[in-house]
Amino acid sequence: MNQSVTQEQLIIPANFQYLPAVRNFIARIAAKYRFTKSELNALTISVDEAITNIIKHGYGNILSGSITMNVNVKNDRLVVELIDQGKSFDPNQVGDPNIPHYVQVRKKGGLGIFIIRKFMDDIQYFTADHENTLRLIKLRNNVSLYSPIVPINSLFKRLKEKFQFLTRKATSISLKETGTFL
Amino acid sequence: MESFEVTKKHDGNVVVLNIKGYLDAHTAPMLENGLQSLIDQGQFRIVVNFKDLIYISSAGLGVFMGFIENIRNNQGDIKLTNMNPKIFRVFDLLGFPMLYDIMEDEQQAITKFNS
Repeated sequence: MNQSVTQEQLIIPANFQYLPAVRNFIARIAAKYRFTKSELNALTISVDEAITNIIKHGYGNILSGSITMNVNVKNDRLVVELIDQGKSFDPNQVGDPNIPHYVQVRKKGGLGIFIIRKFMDDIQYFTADHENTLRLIKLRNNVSLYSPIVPINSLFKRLKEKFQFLTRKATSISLKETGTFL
Repeated sequence: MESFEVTKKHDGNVVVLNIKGYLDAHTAPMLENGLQSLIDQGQFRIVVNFKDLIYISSAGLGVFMGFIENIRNNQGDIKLTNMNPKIFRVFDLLGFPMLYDIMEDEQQAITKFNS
């Protein structure tokens, strides 16, 4: 079910001014692969939040950093990988924010991870060879929209099952009818 | 090109900020500066109209969190109005409706300040 259908890539300098380019890139992929509006919105805000965190916390004041974004469009899921060489920061280690408390202490950050958690189905993070990979996974609601291989197979299987059922039913009807005639 | 704009107008003793476009980590400092300059002028009755806002990320929401305590300590408030459902969802997700006056319409917010 998870074979990669396609992969798109964008590499940006670690600077907030490239956030519109990231959002436009996602919008282009969404149009190309017919994402639903809700998939597009979820992916846009989650990637924006993740990239903002990488620039702010991963790279800090380092202006020469870059972020590689790979989008894998799969049959049943969308997977976005963000790769950076900044300071490691595993979002899974952070708890959910207490918003009233944040207001009291005038804390402005820390909301992004919470938003990502709300919109994404899975968040994976790993570091290897001074490179951090954050993987955001969104399960697809309507698999049959863009999945030419698996649905045809499963459709064929379903048709075959149905056909067998109909054959059995037809046989029993025909026997019954035969019985009536007899 | 995606952009962000803040425009200001006065309605009696209330200031209305119209925000337009895309509010993210890159553009949030513009709103921050706008709100800071109002506070510096002693203006604490603020309505922010979201009618023309297309997109907001947590960096934008954080701006409101950074100022609200100070504004309320000065007998003022920030009332948020005219949000589209996509923007409201982000506010709602973070529990903002419990902390902020989020209203349908700008005039309604101005009236509430004056009541």
